[in-house]
Amino acid sequence: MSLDKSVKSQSPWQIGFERLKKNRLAMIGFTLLCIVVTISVFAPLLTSYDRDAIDTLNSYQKPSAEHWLGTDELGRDTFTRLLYGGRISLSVGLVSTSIAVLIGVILGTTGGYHGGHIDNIIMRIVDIFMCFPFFLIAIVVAAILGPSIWNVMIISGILGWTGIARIVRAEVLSLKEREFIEAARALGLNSRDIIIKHIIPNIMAPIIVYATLGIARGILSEAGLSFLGLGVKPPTPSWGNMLAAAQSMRSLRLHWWLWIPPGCLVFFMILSINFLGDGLRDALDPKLKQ
Amino acid sequence: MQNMTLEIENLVTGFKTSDGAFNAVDGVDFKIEEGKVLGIVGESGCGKSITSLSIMGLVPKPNGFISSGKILFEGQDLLKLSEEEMQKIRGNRIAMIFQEPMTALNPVFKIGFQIAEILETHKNMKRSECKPISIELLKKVGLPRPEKVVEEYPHQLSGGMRQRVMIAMALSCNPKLLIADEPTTALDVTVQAQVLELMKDLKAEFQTSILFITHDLGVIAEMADNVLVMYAGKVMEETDCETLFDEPLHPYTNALLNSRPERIKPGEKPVCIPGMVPSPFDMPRGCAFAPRCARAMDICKEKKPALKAISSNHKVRCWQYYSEEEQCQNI
Amino acid sequence: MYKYIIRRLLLMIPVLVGVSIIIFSLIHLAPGDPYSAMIDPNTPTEEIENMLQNIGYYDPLPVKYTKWASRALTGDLGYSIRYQEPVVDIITRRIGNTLLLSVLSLTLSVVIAVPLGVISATKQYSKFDYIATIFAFIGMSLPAFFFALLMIKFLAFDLKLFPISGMQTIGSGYTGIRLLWDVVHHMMLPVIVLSFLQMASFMRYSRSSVLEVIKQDYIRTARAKGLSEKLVVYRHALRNALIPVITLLSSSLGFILSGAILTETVFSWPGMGTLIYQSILNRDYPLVIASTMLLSICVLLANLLADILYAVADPRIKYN
Repeated sequence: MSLDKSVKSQSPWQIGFERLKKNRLAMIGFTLLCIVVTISVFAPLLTSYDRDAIDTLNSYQKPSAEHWLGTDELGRDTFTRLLYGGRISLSVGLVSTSIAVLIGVILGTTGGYHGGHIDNIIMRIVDIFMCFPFFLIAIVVAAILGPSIWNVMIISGILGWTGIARIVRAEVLSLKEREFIEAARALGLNSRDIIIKHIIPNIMAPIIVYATLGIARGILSEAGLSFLGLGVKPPTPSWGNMLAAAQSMRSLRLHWWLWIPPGCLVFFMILSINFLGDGLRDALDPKLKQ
Repeated sequence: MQNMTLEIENLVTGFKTSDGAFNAVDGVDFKIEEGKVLGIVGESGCGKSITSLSIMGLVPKPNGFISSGKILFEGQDLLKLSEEEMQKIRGNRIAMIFQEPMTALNPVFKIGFQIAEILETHKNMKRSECKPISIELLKKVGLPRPEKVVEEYPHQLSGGMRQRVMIAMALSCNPKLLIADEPTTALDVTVQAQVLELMKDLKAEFQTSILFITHDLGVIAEMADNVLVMYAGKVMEETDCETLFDEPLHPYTNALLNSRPERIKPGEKPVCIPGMVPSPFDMPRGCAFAPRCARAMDICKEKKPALKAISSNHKVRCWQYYSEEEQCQNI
Repeated sequence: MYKYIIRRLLLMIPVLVGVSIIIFSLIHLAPGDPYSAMIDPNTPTEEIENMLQNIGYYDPLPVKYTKWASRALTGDLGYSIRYQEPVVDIITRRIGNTLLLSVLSLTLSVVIAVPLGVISATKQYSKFDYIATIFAFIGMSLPAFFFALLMIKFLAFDLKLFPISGMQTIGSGYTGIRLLWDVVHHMMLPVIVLSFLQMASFMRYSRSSVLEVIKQDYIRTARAKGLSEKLVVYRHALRNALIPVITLLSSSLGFILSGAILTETVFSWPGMGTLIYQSILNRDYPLVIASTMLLSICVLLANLLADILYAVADPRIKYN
């Protein structure tokens, strides 16, 4: 962790991480997360198969010593594709969350800090986005933009910023009345500096909590969209488009090794992120609620 | 000897936290006679509220627990009662008024209902019978237009009015003992005086004993017959009200008396007690007040003094009032 | 109150206009024209051009939008390209099925999850609480469609306990009570999936809400009155704790309506979800726009309903 070891007295962050360490579920989540990230990153070292190597003679093989999780309709090794798929699904989660956090923080701080008309307009936009049924719009946009990994990232990022914008705005509203912000203003700092140097560091806790949970949301959107064939395009494997194997009744019934492992990984991933996010919320920002 | 309403012997109430356990109330003894007022004074965190919650059996669970002692209410040890038996006493024979009238009433229920609930529970009354009695009670505590107030929600009333409602609720079953935990702290000065006046009247009328907890010595002077000065979970001085103000013995009591705002003359700096109440996890080895005490001696830092009777109605916990031989014996 | 409701309804108009503009532009930005599939390939190009001209295909976007909006206001939501039927008719046929599924599973999850959450809170850190918490986390983390697939695979295919998909056995000709049972039998799996996942968040939410309320001063007052622990929890705490749960209820309605898309698709349930998904794939734009708008209106109305219930439940809130 990027904590400054030279600091003697405990900062709120250190106290928070101390508390997090005591939360068993959060630590389980964190460990699982690390394991999955590691095996995805080091995928080539863990398997001798090529990600896209087609071997039609060996299609739909059951799990065996040779193919730990069997093979798919083109004879590709499922285990290998699962490892590589993790890279895609995790990066979709990360990138889409970064987009959402970026938009949310910019609009949230701007609205909260400046108030007035700007705030009104931003909050109306938030209202509009909030009343979109999320997944429905995601499907519409995905159908229009066409299936690709970038589109999935953009869609789930652009549709996911409203929650964080609201939280950030509320925090900024209460923060800007505080003395140290008044003091910064009295010292003649411009509003951009005040926001970046004084406000954002003070609202990092809710942002971190929200971003953590946002990654889960990103992974989930990827899985859903790719399952419907509107997300990551094959042959690039992702957990979502591997799950799409279950779209065929035959594979759903007979070839469980094709879709249950990626589904379980999505589930474990989201579960560990939820554990960790919940722990972070308790540790860093007890007043923040679901 | 007078009839004792409440006798507390060696009460110890502890708390478990993630940082360790400590005793918030550490061996407290006191008695309240029938129809008398005992005031407990002390800074926040000295254990006075926990003492009152211990009597009520409302120490926050599961972290708080009473580890030893006796709480004799009309001769019966409350600590030996089951939860059901305690429920029959709470709100009925022992009632309590809390510090924060703004948050002490349930925001989603009407005033009338919140009073009626007590009558239903303890007097087996039907809901319909309760209303006239509730109105009567509200009238008694001096609320204007009581027949309207029973139909109102807490947020429609001011702080003073809510505290009157709390008092009406506390008195609804004519309790033998009323515990008032800083009942006037959150109120305006004028309202404060009215509420105190009201409590005095009611005491006279019902012969209720009152345990009055406050940090305000002015209120003590107004209300109390006897006074207990508490510090860090222990009784530091115990005497009647007059003696306390005329001849305070403990340095802490003196410091409290000197820091009262009305003692300060214009142009003078207010006298503060230096330092802070020690953390419960970091209690001094000797007297808990020694680090802040202007008259602290060597022995004060080494050994805890015991409560010593100076006269028939005056006890103090301070090494100064021990002779040198006694001090030596103790070392 | 009435004034407030009317004002809120009026405030919905700009939001709806915003929603419709965004959806409308999104859809018309999509490449290709959806009509080519409808037209006989032997029609001369000139005639097609004329037709497209006539129906306003080449109009600039704002003109198109105004035309659509003014027709929509009169209740004319256009004609489905694929089904060759007025959009309104198709939607009325489908929306009941979706409401059936979502209202049932929402009710079921609230009725089961809220008491569980309350018990969990009153027995904080007990075994029950621990198990309930784990289950809640599982429910929150399990993707609905994956859960649905597992259910189909194990309960429908392997154990043959439930039908695999659809709303009734095709060609069975059941009537009366047998038809009812058939539909109920088909409904079970989707309802289990949707309500299990909803239950998780309701349980967590009511648990934390009760834990929050139980710390309040007025709960201590209620205990000091000598009320039994049961009355303290189920009368004084629950009434207050349920207020924030109402908010979740309204947001869940939105979630369940749109989240049901995947679940409905997996179960081939003939509701709005499958309809929307298919019309998106078919580029049946009038249908997509109308259904999306309808769902957005549902979400907005659910929010309004939540605010009204909020005021009913909490006497401190007065809308003027």
